[in-house]
Amino acid sequence: MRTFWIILRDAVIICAVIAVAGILINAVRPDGLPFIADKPYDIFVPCPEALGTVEMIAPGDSRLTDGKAFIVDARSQEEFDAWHLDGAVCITYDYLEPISDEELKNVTLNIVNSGKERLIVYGDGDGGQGSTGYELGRELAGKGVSHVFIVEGGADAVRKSR
Amino acid sequence: MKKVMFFVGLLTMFITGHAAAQTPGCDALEGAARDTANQAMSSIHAYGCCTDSVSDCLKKSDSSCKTSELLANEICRLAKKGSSLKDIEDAVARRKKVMDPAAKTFAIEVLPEHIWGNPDAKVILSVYLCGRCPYCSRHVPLLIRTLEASSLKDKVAVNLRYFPIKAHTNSTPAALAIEVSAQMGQAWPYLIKSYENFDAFSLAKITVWGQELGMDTERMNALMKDPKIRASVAASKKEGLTNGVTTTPTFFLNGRRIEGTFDVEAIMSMLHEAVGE
Repeated sequence: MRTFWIILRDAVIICAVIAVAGILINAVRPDGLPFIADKPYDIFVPCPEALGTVEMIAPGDSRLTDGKAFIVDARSQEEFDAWHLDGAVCITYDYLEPISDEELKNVTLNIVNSGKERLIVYGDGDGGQGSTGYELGRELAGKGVSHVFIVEGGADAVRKSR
Repeated sequence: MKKVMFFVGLLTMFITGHAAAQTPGCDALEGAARDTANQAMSSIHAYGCCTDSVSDCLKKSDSSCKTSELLANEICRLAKKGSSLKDIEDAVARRKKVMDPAAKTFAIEVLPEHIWGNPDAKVILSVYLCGRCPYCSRHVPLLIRTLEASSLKDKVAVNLRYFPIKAHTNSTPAALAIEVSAQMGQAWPYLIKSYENFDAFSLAKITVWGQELGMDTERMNALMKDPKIRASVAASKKEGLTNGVTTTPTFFLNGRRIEGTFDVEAIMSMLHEAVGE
C-alpha cells in the first residue's frame, strides 16, 4: 500500500513539473498560445466542387470506336435526338444540379454489365473546361467513375471525324 | 586591431539586423519574424515602378512609387504571421502575377445589379461564391466590412458571380434568391444577410429575409420560378468553370485570378496597389 502512495506522489510531482515547464516555455515563446483564445479558431476551408480527373482524347481516337467504351452524350435531349454517335446514351449535363443517384447507378451498372473498359463523354462547345461534356466527365470522375475520357472539340468534332 | 575588427563586426551586425525594416509595419517586428522579413526584402525583387530588391526600392524613397512600400508591408505581415521565407516568396510571386498587366485575363461578365461599391470603378474585384458555402459566409462579409471602412470604398467595384457548389444542399435556391434580390436591387444586402444568418437558412427564410430588406414577397416568389433567373445563375457557373474555378470563394482582380488561400488583408493590399494608393 505504501508503494502505491509513493508511485502516486512521484507521478503527481512529475506531472506538476512538466506542466509548469510547459507553461513557462509557452510564456517565453514569442508566438506562444494564449490561455484564453482571443479570436475564434478558423476551421473552415474553401468549398470545393467535387471534380475528378479526366483525360482528353482526339475525336478520331480509336478508343472511341473499338467497342470497349461506354459513350455518353452530355448535350440536351433535342441535340441528342438530332444527331448522336451510335451507341451513345444521353445524360444532359446540368450546371446547377448534380447527376441523380439513379442516373449514376444506371451508368455504373451499364458499364459493369457491358464489360466496357472506359467511359467517353462528349458534349457541346469545344469540349474543354466549361463545356457540358468536360464538366459531366469531371463530375462522374468525382463520383468515383474511373477511366473517364473527354473528346476534344465536342460533338461537332466527333460528327466531322465520322 | 582584432578587438577593433570585432567591434566593427558587431556594430555592422547590429545595424543590418535592426535597420533593414523600413516601414511602420516592418519596424514593429521583432526576433525571427524580423529576420525573415529582412531576408525576404533583400531576396525578393519588386515590380512596376522599381525592379530592384524590395529593400533597395524602399531606400530610394521615391514617393510616387508605392508598390515597394505595399510589398514591404505585405512581406512583414506574412513574416509576423509566422510564414517561412519560401512561403513569402511564393505569395509575392502570386501577387506579381495578379498585378502584371500582361498576365492572362479571364472573361467575366459585369452587370450593374451585381456590383458592390463604385459601378464606374476601374478596379473590379470579381468573386465567385456559393450561397451555402460556410467559408464564404465567414469571409465575404468580412471583406465587404473591411472595404466599407477603408479609403477604397468608392474606388473599387466588387462583382458578384455565382458558383453554387453541387455538394451543398440548397446551393441552387440560395443562388436563385441572391439573383432575385439582384433583380430587385438588393443583391449585396441580401447576400450579407443570408451569410450572417447562415445557420438559420431554410427555403422559407428566403422571402422572410427579402421582406426584412423591403422586397416584395409576391415578386420574389414569381422571380424565383423565372427560367431567366435560373439561366443567369447557370451562365455564371458555366463562366466560372470555363475560367478554371473549382472552389468558392475564388477572386479575380480586373480579370486576373488571385491564387492561394483567401486572405482579406492580402486582397486589401492588392486593391490598394491596383488603385495606385
